[in-house]
Amino acid sequence: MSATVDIAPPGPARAPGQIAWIVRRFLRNKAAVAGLIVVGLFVLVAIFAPLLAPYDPIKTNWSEIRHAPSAAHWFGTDELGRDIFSRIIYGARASLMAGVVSVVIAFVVGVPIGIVSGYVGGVFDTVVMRVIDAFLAIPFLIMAIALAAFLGPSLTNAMIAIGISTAPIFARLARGQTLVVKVEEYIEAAYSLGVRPMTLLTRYIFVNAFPPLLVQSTLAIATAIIAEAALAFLGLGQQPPNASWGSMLNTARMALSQAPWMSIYPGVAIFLTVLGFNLLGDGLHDALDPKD
Amino acid sequence: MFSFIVRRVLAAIPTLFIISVIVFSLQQLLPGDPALLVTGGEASAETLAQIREQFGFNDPLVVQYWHWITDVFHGDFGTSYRTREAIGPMLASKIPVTLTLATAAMIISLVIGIPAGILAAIWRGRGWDHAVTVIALSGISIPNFWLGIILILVFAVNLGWLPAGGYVSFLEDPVQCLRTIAMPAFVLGAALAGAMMRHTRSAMLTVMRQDYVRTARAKGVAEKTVILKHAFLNAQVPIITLATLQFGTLLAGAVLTEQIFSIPGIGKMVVDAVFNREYQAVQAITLLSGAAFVLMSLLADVLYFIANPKLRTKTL
Repeated sequence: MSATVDIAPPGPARAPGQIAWIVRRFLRNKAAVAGLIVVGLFVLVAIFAPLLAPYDPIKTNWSEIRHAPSAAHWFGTDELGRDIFSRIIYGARASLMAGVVSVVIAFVVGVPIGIVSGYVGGVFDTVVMRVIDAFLAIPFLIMAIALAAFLGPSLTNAMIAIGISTAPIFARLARGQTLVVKVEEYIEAAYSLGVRPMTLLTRYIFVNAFPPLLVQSTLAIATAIIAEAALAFLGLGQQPPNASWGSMLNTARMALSQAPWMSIYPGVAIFLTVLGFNLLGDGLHDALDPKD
Repeated sequence: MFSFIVRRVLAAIPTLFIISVIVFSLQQLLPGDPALLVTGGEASAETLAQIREQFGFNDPLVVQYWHWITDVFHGDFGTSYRTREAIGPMLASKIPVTLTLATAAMIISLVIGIPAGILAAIWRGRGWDHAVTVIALSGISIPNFWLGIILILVFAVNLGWLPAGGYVSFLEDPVQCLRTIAMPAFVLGAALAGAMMRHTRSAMLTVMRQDYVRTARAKGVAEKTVILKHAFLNAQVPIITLATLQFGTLLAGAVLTEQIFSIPGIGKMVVDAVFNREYQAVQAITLLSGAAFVLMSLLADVLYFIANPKLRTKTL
């Protein structure tokens, strides 16, 4: 007899009708829809940046240094005469990419550790959780700064640093979900039918632990965007001359009294994007888990 | 009570040990020869070999860890390669500055967050509740370094009411100290106040659904007493836990806030250390912040124990 037994879709994984119900719940939540629209707009801005930006974001113009907002430059120009509006449009690419990539890293590293630890249990689980607790004890941004400092300043290293610093949160959440799911009857049924442990972990436990992980991912993107901006602000993220909202704020604070517009718009961009992801995450949470 | 504290301290030891291993391992991420860091650049092969021997870079990692951690226990976090100054005393001089800032920020967040959260729970679904929800979410979404820049722009550059940066010790000049930390403490406290509002609201809503609150109301107890005595006293336990555990967030937030307002605390020290490639100082601060978090969660457990009479009688 073959070792693999394929049984029907795992227990409470959501049926198509249930998904439609979740979508309807989500769409009824005005704040969540607003968050989705804001996030969608910034994603479109990032994708179509070359079409939307009126100027080259890294082209300097010595005759237009620190010009106030005008019809020609909606958000003004910076200390090198570059168009701030165009740099904010291109900066969306760095911020969104950093947010998404670092959360993907955190998810890929943290979730398997958490699921395996929760499933195996015993001493292995105790040891893994102690390590996770130790990682969580180090404040997130300090850990990210320390990692980025040791790895060297670049956008890629900032994403790795943020991803590794976020991974323990995913590991802990995945482990908690695994502990809840693994005692369900359909898991025991699948186990007694001879389903292989790998299939059990991926197709049964992971699928059913996914909704809270999705909510966490959305909220973690918001945190990662702020963290990337913070690292860029400290010179540990996107390097000049490429545009990044955090590094734009760093140069802007040198000219606060002469060119206040340089400080305002990049911050508004970060705030709106992060708010969008937070609203979206809260909305997903409410739609997926109406009990709360 | 004593045995409870002893048990919690013993449980914290493995976590502290693992934190120290993680922090020690950070230096393995450094590309290239660590001896080059000591010399600050180019050096002859003999000099590099001598430095490797002198600083123990040739020793096995376990031996290097042992030397490092025993030094840390003696308060020796290493010496700055650049200034040849000991890192321990430098760190000790920065701690009171960051603690003053963090305490002020914590007070601001409690003063704003708890009453706003209580009122949002009382007036659930009404205008104030929606306003609190929006303000709290905005507080969480605003990057604190940007909020700092905007406050400097308004209150220092345009209005000239507060200094744009710097720090004066409270013992030296209390008034000037409050003037210098007003903006940075608000910046740090704002995000925490947002989290505090959400948490207080949720804790109060849970408690206000309980039978004893309904009974108190049925007995005709004044609404103010029901809320403050019956509901809030029971909701304070999760609030205390959050407030204590958010100390790590305050420390991390201080990194950027101190940088913006030129406050000579631990946060500014870590950024300066990163730029001067003083990796031992980065390690020291990371270790210290991890250890501080473990101590704060220990404190949270003790406060939880004191605040919750049920737990006290059960354990004693």
